[in-house]
Amino acid sequence: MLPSTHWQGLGGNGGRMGDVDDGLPDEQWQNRMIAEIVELQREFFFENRNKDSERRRRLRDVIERATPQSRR
Amino acid sequence: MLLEEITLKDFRCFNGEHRIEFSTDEERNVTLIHAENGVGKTTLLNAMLWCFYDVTTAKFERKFDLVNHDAVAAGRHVCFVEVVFEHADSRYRARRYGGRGVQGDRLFSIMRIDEGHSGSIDAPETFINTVIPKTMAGHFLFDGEHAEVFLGEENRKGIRRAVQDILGCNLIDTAIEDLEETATYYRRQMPKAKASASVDALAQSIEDLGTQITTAKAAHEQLKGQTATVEQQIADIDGKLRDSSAAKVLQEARERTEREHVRAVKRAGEAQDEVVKWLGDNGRFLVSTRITETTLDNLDTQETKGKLPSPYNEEFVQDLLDLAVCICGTELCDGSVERAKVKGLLTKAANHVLRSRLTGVRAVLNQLKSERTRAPARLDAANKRLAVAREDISAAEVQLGEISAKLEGIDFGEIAERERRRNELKAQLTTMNQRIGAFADNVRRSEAQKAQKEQELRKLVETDDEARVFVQRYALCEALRVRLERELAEEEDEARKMLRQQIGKVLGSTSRKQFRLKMTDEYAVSLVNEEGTLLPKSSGENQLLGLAFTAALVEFARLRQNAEDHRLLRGTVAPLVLDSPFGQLDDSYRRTTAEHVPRMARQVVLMVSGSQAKGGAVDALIDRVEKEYVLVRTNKGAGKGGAAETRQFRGRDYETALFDQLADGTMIVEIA
Repeated sequence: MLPSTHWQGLGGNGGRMGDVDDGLPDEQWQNRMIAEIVELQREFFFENRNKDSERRRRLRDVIERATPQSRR
Repeated sequence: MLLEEITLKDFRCFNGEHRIEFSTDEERNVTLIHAENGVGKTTLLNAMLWCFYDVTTAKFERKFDLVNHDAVAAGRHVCFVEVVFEHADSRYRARRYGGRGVQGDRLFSIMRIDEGHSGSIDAPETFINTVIPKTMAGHFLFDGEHAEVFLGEENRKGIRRAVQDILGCNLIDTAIEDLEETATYYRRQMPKAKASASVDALAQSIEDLGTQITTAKAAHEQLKGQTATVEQQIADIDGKLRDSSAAKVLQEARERTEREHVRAVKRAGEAQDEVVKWLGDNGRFLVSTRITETTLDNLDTQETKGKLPSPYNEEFVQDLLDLAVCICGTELCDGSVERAKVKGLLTKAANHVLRSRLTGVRAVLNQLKSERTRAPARLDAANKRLAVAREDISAAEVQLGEISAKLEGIDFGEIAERERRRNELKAQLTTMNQRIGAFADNVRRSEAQKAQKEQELRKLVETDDEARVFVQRYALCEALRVRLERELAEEEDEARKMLRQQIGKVLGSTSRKQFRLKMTDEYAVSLVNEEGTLLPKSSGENQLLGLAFTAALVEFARLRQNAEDHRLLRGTVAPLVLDSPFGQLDDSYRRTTAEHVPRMARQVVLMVSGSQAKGGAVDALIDRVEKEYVLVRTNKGAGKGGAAETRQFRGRDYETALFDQLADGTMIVEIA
């Protein structure tokens, strides 16, 4: 599970993601997310092709774990 | 992957079991298969693809009719293709069955076969994709019979797909699509979190702008690809018009030479007339040489002797008679002897008429003499002018003949049509470039507007926790998507550089012209000369380029086989399969290309027909061939009699068609 994040500003267009609680720099935080997303893609690429909805649901899980509801 | 052997049983035209062993030697790395069209070449090529991936090429007809018909008639309803290969220092046997009743695990299996042990691989489809991904496999097969479309608009997309497949961009492409879709999902969630007309409107506006940007980018890219096609069409016309310019130059030369010819004919006529006139005027000077000399000598002699003319005039003698006194004083009385003697002189006295005649004769004779001296020079001059004029006429006629031969067959009306078409294409290109610029401006404006609206939306939902989290998620998806797109573009850029380099090496080794490859970011491929001018494509150069590109893809995949980037698929070592690669090439290109073929990949499978093998192509690489086969047509029926169909390989005759066989189809014969 990825560390939770504290948002001071919102990143769009590859901009700054803001400070994070665990002290990881933004770039590394993004790298870890990307690695997780790619692993998900790889799993479906070889094994479970054409299961788009399932794959996207799992992607939303990844995004939502990184952006839990209650944080400001 | 290194292919070791392929076995086909009752597969399509192969009745019974047939096998090919591939060359695995590093130096003699070519497996050569002689196969005419219609004997099973396409089937053999597709057998590998079908075995590994259950796919076939577009040329493979009736793709569900796999079992050999004679086998079915004999009660055998199942076929298979088996491929033994080496990968990562282990050996494997892949087998796929086709036909009635085959299903489940038996359909496709892969066994690992090492040192006498064998074990089944779980998830064989997954495994084979890690060896050579299905998306890559088709790119290592070069179809020489359709290479003429390689530089076309349609294949631009095919080239891009090949590069992206070998990079393994599929994962990232899908990730980007998923992130876009997920971002849209979160954006659409926001209005449900806070029912606000402003939020609704902004969210909708952002989504609309996003759609607009995507559409504009796609149109922009498509147009850029199309401009490359139009530029190539213009280059083709320019090439033809350059030939036509030469025609115009020839035409002008012809007109100039015709004028020179007319002038030379006129000069010759004048010189001819001059000669004839001179002969008429002065011929007597030449023919009268002897008589002139003789007469003048005679006149001189008579004059010397005092006889011609007489030394005394008639008038003088008459005066003496009239005066009746001689100059010595003697009286000249009538009847006197003295008077009679003086009177007798009258008969020989010169008078003015005689003197005048003699003077005239001398003048004529002297003129004859002097003209005789000058005449030959004048005649020579006239003859020389005539000779020069005639030489000029001959030279002009020869030149006119040469020009005519060169101009023969050129249709000047067609030249005008090409020029008109070129102007049309230029105008089209200008319009397209204007539209490209407009699309680019549109994208920039829309992105700026979108960013601004996203900022407004963020501010608007700042106080609403529920709405804010969706905005955060949306923003995160966008950030990740943009980053992946940027990194993928960088990878593609590196890939294009590498491909340009590899293709340049192949072209440099095989082409006899000085040109280099130009490949745009949109994968529009063309050839340019050293000045950067687009060259018209000959079909031979098209084929060479397609071949060079396929070889470059194989090398590219090999270089990427140890790529550590987790985001992309690793490359692979793949065999290069060439089907009729020499078709459009002339003999010189065939030889130089054939010499280069063994260097294109670790393992090469080369299929050639009889006509392809001509021109020294096979001879050029025969030393690198370890395994050689010929596909032989088998016929149940009897032959028509007469000489058997044979071809000679390695100094021995091999029959290429057999009759009175058990089945119609193909058998594989190894050439020893």
